[in-house]
Amino acid sequence: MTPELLDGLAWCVGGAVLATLLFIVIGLIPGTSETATIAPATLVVILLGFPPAGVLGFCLAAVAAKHLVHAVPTAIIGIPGDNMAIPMLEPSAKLRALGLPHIALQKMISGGVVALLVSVPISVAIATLIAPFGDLIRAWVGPIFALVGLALAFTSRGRWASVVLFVPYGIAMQALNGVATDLNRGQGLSITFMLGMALGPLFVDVLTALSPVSRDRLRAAGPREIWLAPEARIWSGRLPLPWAVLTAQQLVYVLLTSVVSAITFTFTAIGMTFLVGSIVQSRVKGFYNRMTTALSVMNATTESTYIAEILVPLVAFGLPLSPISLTVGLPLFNAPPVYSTEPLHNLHSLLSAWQIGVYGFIAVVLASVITYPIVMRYARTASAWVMRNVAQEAVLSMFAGLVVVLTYYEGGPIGTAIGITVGILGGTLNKAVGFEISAQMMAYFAAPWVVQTVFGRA
Amino acid sequence: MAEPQRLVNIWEDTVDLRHLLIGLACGSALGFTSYVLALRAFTAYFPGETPGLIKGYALMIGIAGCVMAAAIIGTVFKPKRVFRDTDEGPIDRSTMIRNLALDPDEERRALETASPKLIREMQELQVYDFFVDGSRSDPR
Repeated sequence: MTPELLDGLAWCVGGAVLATLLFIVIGLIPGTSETATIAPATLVVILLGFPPAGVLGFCLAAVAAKHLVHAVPTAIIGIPGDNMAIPMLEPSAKLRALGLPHIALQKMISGGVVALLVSVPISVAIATLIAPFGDLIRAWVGPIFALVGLALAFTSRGRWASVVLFVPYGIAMQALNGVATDLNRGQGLSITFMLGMALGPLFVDVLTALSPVSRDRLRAAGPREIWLAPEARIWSGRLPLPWAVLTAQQLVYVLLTSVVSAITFTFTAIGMTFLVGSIVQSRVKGFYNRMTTALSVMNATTESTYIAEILVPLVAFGLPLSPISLTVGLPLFNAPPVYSTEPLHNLHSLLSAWQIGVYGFIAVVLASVITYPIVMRYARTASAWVMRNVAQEAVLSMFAGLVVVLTYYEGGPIGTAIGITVGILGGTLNKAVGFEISAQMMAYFAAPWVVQTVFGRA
Repeated sequence: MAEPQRLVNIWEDTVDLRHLLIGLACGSALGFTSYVLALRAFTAYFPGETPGLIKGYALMIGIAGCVMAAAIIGTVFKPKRVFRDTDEGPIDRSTMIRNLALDPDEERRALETASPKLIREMQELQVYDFFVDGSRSDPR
């Protein structure tokens, strides 16, 4: 072993451990966006003078640890740990209703760890193979989301009603986004729409309770009883190993998604998570199997999309060509005065593909080894504590705060207004005709392409 | 403290409507004020910093405000749900199946083709019988 290699390894391990410890704590705070935490932290590390191996180890371990820990508030309290956890709210709530929040959590982080371990090598391999076709893949985003979205709408509870609503709902979302773009003279909104749709049923419940006309529909005869399933060893062997916690079918789905995420590295990560979750839910039979599979695969996608969207453009081009590399991973590409894309002087030119693969792998392994056992061990204890002591009123008031703060942060006053509008519209359609949240998300993601293709003038 | 006639079911759990409305107002107000004040303060104290970074830091404070609101509401109002641990006996399972809007026959059919590992897992968690018995005792 040469001294340089040893030096690089030491920095990588140090950076990864530091990031893991930091982001285990940050990950537990609900609603902390990745862009607002991981990007600035990485930038600080770069400006402090960490060498490339340390910077890469830090950034990837931060992503890995955050997307393992974000499952904790999502599964046991029902508040999304961050933006990427929003798609997992609904299945988590259903498993919580069945007394299985700890199993939801254990399945999620097991899927996440397996995805982490395979994503780094897959991403580096894909980067060297298909990266030249990046533009081609980007061009197909619209049609793919539209076709898959329509198929999902048909297989959802609402059936033909959801199919009929697909285009009108998409137009409504485009129109609302137009209002925001116009008023703010800038970019459109995205987190606002995600939050509005995910929390739609909640908005409608509150409205229903407010109206004397409809209040009786929600009236409770007495407090609801909530049961918690036992601490079961759902894995074989002495220690919980992530691949033993998942069933064979769940493993296959996790591996498949990791490959697909690497190929579709220019797609929106949150959209991919919704897409993957809905596909799994439409294919897997049986409630328990469907929900646990959906959650393990969705959390796997939150990890694999992030790893792929950072590593594929980094290895292939050294230019931030994916949504995540433009936000969370940006400091790895462009962090003046240390790194720059013009002239190209960043991790792409400072490390070989081989080194990026090895350092990246070490980083995600360390993040997993530190985080996984702790979360697995305390999943049920924490769930029982929350169920005993935390009032639903407190959870919902936090939600109200998060909606206001995050939508205002993204789009100012009109952002908050649009978030609430989307929530009421989507929630009503969801409750009335079964137009499910995932189908709504797909309608939103496909809308720009659909509106342009169907109604645009050539 | 909680009046029975004010109990409503919101998002799969029971709340006292008045407590909920106080909570929602408190959460929105505290979150919003913390964000806006932090944004003002940071913009005034760090004039040279990029606006994006300042907004990011203000967001942290805003979220801290939300967490604080939840902590206050959580201390003042106690949970309305009744928590049953595993050994305290099961609750009415057919209600649970109905609440989740599942088709009992479809559930039973799905279990017939499920893998042995999955069935063992469900049995260990004591939810296997939910889907087998729950469908039989269902009055439909």
